Amino acid sequence: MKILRVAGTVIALVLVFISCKKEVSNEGNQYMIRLKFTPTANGEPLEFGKQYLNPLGEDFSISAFKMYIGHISLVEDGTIKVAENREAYYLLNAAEPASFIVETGLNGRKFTHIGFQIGIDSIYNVSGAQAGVLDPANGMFWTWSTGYIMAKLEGNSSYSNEVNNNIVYHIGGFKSSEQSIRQVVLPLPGQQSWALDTNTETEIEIKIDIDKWFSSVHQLYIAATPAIMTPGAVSMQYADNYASLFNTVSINRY
Amino acid sequence: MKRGLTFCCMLIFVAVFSVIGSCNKNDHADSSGTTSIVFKTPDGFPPPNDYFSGNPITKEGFELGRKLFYDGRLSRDGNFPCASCHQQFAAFATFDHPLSHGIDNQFTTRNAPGLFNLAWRKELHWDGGINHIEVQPLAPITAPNEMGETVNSVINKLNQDEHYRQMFSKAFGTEEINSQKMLKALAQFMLMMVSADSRYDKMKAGKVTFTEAEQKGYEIFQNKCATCHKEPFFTDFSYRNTGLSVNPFLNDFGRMRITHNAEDSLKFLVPSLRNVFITYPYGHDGRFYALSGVIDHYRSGVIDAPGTDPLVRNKIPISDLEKYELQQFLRTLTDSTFIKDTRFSQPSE
Repeated sequence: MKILRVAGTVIALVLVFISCKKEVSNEGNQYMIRLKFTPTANGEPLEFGKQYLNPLGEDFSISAFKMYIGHISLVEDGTIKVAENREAYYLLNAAEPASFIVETGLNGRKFTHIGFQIGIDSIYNVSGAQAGVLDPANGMFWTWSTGYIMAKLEGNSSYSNEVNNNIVYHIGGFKSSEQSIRQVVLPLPGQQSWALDTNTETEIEIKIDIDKWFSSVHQLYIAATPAIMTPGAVSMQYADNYASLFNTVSINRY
Repeated sequence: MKRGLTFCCMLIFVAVFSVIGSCNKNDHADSSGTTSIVFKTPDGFPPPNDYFSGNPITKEGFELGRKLFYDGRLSRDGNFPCASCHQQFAAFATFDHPLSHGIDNQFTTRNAPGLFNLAWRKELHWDGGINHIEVQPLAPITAPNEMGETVNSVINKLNQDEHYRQMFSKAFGTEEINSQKMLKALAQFMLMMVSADSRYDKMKAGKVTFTEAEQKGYEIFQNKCATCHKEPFFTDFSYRNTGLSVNPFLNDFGRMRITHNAEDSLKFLVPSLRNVFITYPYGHDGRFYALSGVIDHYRSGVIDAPGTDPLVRNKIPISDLEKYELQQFLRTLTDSTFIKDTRFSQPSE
């Protein structure tokens, strides 16, 4: 019988040794964190079809605004990622208000900033058909030149010389020379650091300022570029701008 | 004691393998009731790309892909299945059409290529814009001048068909139909399309002997064509500017549209010459109705512009006799087995 006990131990050790390995980027107990985005234009909550003025003095209205985010992370001191969910992507879609509330599980380490990525990792751009939020049926996929559209803004402007004064921005590109993936790290209000735990619900309110789509890192006049639907240098300038659309408004603990 | 030890060893063995099995997500072939299909690499071909570990080919998945390939419901008006432009008797190219016909009496802007040996292709389309066979069908399905549909609409139509729900369930384990499963099934069907049984292949295998004209044509081919049309695929999968004039109606600048690099202006994929005699017309826009015209282009038609490929810039000297012999050789690349293979023909309902 002794030998059975020994064998049992051996089996247990072997099982531990070879059991499936999980991603290690987010070790420890998982606690829910909620990001609540509010899209705005001219300082007001975004309304489709309403006339706005961009910082360059051009009128515009919006009929579609969609953006992929993922890699939600907790960041300490603005630079050190202490937890990251590398698995989940979310499609923010102004036509579906519920899509602006994003929940994910992260560990309980101390953090001062919240981080996320805009865009879909290159691996999912080159590995064939994907499902769920990455399903091409979501309309965020180029079918003639494989790759995800990372962000989409459509509407109208009297400054556009396109058909029906349309403005059409489909921004993407995953190759190094035309990279449109951008990292966003936002400081949280107040000086203190935070940690997720079981007893408190944590919600971070983030404002999306669509005005900056046209003018932040780069000044991108509608008159000059009413439509961009391919990866490349111009797309990358819009990507620089969309990385600066976000501001944390508050962190709420319930 | 000894029996106890044996028993323990067996126990360890079983435990270890059950864990290994549980980690391997792709190895559910038996438990899910599907039948694996083995992909065979023809003699003389290098190993294919790995399109299989993420999408193992099964009889059920292949048959589903076959049904989808021939189903007009993948197009908006029901009349344009994949097979409308990819006809088996033409090695899955469009026979006798310079540009394929899409929905609402529209022309496409390029000549539909034959479909075979796709497992060795890393990129698809004349401009290489598609980087994985699974996402390839999205291009014709959604193009307004091809099948003119939306992904969501196709999935809705498939969902309304109980037979499809059963087939998806058999192939992928759940009745849910989504674009990923549809595309993986289509990929399974297309990956199995291997053309490697032409007279040329039989000659290589020592089963037949070329005629004198075929043999001479083969030697001319090796000397003057084989750098770009490299054996055994009869393409090196590169993109080249062969000095064709720009069609002012199409204004197709080829690979530059994908890479946004001026150096790629007017570059198009070097097409495979397998089955070349049955895939006419030729060229990315189907401008050559016969092989004779293609050979004449390389003899005398090449435009020497800054981007023209150095290999053809100075034209290729080919005499009339050589031209005849070359065509005799190119005829040996027709794979009658492939174009009559009932595995790939329209399924009977």
